[in-house]
Amino acid sequence: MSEDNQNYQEFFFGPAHPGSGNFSVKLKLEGEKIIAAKSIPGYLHRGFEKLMEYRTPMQNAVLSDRICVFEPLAWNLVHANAVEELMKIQAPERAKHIRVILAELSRIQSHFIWYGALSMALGFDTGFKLAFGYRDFILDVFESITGARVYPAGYICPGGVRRDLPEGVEEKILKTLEKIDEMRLWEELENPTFQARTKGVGVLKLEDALKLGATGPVLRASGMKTDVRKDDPYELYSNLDFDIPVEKEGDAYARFRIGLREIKESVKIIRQVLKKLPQGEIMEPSLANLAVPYNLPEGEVYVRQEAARGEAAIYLVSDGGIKPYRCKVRGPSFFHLLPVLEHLLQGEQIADVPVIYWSLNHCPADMDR
Amino acid sequence: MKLKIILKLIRNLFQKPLTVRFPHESIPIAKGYRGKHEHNMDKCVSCGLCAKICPNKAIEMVEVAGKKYPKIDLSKCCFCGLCQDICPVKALKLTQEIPQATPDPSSLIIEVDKTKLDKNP
Repeated sequence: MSEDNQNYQEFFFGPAHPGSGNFSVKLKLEGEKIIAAKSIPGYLHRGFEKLMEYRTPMQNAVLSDRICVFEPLAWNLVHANAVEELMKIQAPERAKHIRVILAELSRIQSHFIWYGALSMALGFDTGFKLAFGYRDFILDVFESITGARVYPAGYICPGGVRRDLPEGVEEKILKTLEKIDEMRLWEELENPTFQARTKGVGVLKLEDALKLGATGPVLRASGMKTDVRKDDPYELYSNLDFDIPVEKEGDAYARFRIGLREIKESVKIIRQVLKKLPQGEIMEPSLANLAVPYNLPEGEVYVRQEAARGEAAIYLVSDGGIKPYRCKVRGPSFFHLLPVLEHLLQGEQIADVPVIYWSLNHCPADMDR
Repeated sequence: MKLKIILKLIRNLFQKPLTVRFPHESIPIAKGYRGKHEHNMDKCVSCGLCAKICPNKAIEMVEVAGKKYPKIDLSKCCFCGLCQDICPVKALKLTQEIPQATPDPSSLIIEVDKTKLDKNP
């Protein structure tokens, strides 16, 4: 009860809630209905922007894994491209191909986590187990390429990639892609309970999405055809043939469909890149020797890329030293969890909170940085 | 579409599970896995580059018998493998051995092996 004798209750969703994960929302309830929601960030703040000012670009590549727990390789790529653009160098062709393969595999496994979590929020445990089970096949590929299942430790580093593909990994990737297609078959089995819980829940209109700063799959589910891979191509994306899935409804179900269709497009991209994987160098020769520190030329860059959950960007300033002067990380989840979530929760039922929360495809780690 | 799934379900009934009975058997670890360090003291030239590049400052150069060797604290290590890549003589190497959970923190520190030094003066 409040001081002004109004009939509402305050309720915390998270941070200890098993479905929320290091993030908390303070809900104002009138019966079962939410009249106001306030996001409380900061439980996972690790201060990457300051840490990066004290490390050289190669050490920062290792650090950039940890920005987002669910897709370390995507953040590796953003950081590597920011440093390369500042130094005005290009990675060798083979390295670029390997980077795109890993970025797309990372997108697929991140979408699998999204489904797992969304199914868990609905109490649909079969979906959760399926998604996490199939994700393990992709982690096996990561293990043989990068040397660890989840954190690649700066595998995609400024100047290229840290080691060449091991023998026979191409066939392993193709086999994994077949498994992913199999997984999509399971997910397309329209579960009536799933539909009833997600259709018409958490509708985000296009004008609200644009006003509140939504990007990536959330914005595409509201009906905007946008993708950094097409709008501002980086690496090989300008030569690749793929579509951008768009849905009009803007509800939790539309966001789920977008993810499914994006997995299909990512599989298409990986097949194309594997077909034309060239031989040759994997590291720019001037940066290949780690023992020789290089200076970052004076200047500033802003590099943006399409990560699985939206637009990921790094702003890098250098004063000519071996360490960056300032680094700003723009995580897509920040906008999805603060303004968008607060807007969506207003007027919804309390039972729909986990569904709306997980349908936004967020990661508290990259919001708090 | 649904027929395919039913067929798959029936096939799954007769398949072995994907999981293994862990302590008795385990899934093989990939060749390039980054695990515990292996230090070859005979090769080491005491340049200290590994301690310099370590992002977590897990490597400290300690003096043993007039020469400096890396002492590695695995509890600080993030297993990035930069020390392995930077080593000019390939004295440091990451093995496929995964450090196990332990109640004794001192077992996670790879000390310089003095007994080895005495044998090769």
